[in-house]
Amino acid sequence: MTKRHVLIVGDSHIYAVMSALDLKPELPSDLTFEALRNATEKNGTMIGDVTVDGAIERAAKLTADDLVVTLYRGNQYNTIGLIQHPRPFDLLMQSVDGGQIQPGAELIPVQMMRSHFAGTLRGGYGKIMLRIQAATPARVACVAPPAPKDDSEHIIKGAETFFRQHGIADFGVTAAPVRLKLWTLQQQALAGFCEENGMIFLGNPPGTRNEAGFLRRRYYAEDATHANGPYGVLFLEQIARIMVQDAPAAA
Amino acid sequence: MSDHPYRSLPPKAFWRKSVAGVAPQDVDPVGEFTLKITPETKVATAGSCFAQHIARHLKASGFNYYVVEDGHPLLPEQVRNANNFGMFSARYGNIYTARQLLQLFERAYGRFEPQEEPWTDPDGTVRDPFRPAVQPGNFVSPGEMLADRAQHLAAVRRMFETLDVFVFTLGLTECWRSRADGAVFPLCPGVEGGTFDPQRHLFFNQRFADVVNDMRVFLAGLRAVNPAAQVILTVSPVPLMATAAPGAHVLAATTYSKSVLRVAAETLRLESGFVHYFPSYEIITGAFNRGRYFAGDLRNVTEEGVAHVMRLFLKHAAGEALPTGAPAPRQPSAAEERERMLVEQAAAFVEVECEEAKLDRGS
Repeated sequence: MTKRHVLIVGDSHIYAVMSALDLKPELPSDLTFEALRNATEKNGTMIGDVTVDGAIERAAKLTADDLVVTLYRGNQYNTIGLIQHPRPFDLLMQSVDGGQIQPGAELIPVQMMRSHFAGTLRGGYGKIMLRIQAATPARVACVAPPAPKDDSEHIIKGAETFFRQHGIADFGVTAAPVRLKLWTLQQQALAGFCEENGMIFLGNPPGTRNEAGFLRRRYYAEDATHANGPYGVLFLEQIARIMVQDAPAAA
Repeated sequence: MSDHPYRSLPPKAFWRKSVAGVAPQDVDPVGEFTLKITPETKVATAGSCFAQHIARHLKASGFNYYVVEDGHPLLPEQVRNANNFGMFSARYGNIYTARQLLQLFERAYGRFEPQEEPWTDPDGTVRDPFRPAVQPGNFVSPGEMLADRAQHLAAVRRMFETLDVFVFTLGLTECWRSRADGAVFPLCPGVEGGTFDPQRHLFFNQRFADVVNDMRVFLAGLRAVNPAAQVILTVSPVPLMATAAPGAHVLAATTYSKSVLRVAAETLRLESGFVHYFPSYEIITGAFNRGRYFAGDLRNVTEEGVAHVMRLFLKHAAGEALPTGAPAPRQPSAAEERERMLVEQAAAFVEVECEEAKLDRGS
């Protein structure tokens, strides 16, 4: 029997998937998984496994029974909003925290922030996803980044280089509900993009968020923004379910 | 030959010498304009569509175009502009009538609270009846609209209290108002959101006395909160898109509207030393340019026309403050510079290179 292949490509959130594969979880035997870190230059050195062109080349060799899963730019919302801005801001979103606004925060209209996420997606990394889709006979899925963490102490302690370099220790962490709203809008933009372009949208695996909507502590990676291997296992199981549901009929 | 008053008048007082006998681009209809602005002068703007040109050119010329509601710098300027931040000094959208300006002022200071409820579009999004087009995609809930309005009105208060010069372009006399409390709308309900209801909405064409009285109350209010404020009035040369005046032709209605506004501006200038008039209306509509300052629709003003207005505005208002061409841009404060860096940082849209995530691998 020919095994069906799942090619997973993306930025730093892919490490949770790689960790999961290292854990050798029980997954359907007719599926093979391959996770590749997007190659990029950092401090003058190339890191990662595959360039965008390389990922497109690999995707082109797949069949219609396979799947390409993309995890690009998952941390955009953190880039925007993890560090407390000198002009504190908030968004009024009934669905997230009942329509609260942080005291003294400047209101940013939801549609304005929404249009920003949608614009950077369409004009930026969405183009990568579209190129992959155009090149491959396989279906393409986009993955929402893990929900934010509500523990500010953990975030400060584990802040990645980027956030440390930009003064998270001095400025502090943006209030958790605000970060949850940014994450919500980013994933809504991604879901809308997927719907427009006939891609599969994958939200966070069931059970990985707490009652308030944040990433459950047991799925925290040690840094400020990423999820861990056990989260990645749930993510792989989520993909496996899709593949099983859509399995081609037996000959 | 007897002497008479005309003998001692300057060339600008004579049609042949200053209009018919001058190249169109050299016509300068500015009479008295004593107000001077410098790159430090905080110049705020409001008014109809034409006022947007003034704001744009002031900014481009390096003057302190004073924006108190600029949108959060977390978002790139392009996004903020698309959401109507920075179009005027605060995000009030177009203010077409004197009554609208006065009511904005009264609302900002809590002296008038219109009864009109938020307007809900068929898709469930919400508009502010007094700024119906200000938020692309509208607000997501009445609560968000009201919170944004409260923030906006606070910015309006801050603007009036701290500006040096307020440039207001009078646009129209025609408007629609609520029968309940007289609140006027920038657009007729139903045109861009809302629902027109003749039981609730009434056409109102301001007369000369209405305009002058509204402006007097506004000017007194402004000086009460900002005794040093100076005001420049202009009249928009843009004709009415349509008239609702019973039986009226739009061209005659335009003449009426602009005439009332022009006379009101002159009246206010003559009675208040801090009120100045700048003749952008005359520059655009004057026969000397043979209609070339209007675009093909005979409504919109061409960039050439706007440039003529602004060239004269800067010449008369900036005077010697303009060393060669445009003055140097105002230097940002340390706080502004820090904000700018944060904006750039976010706008650069860096993919966070979180290689530390690797550390979790195998943990």
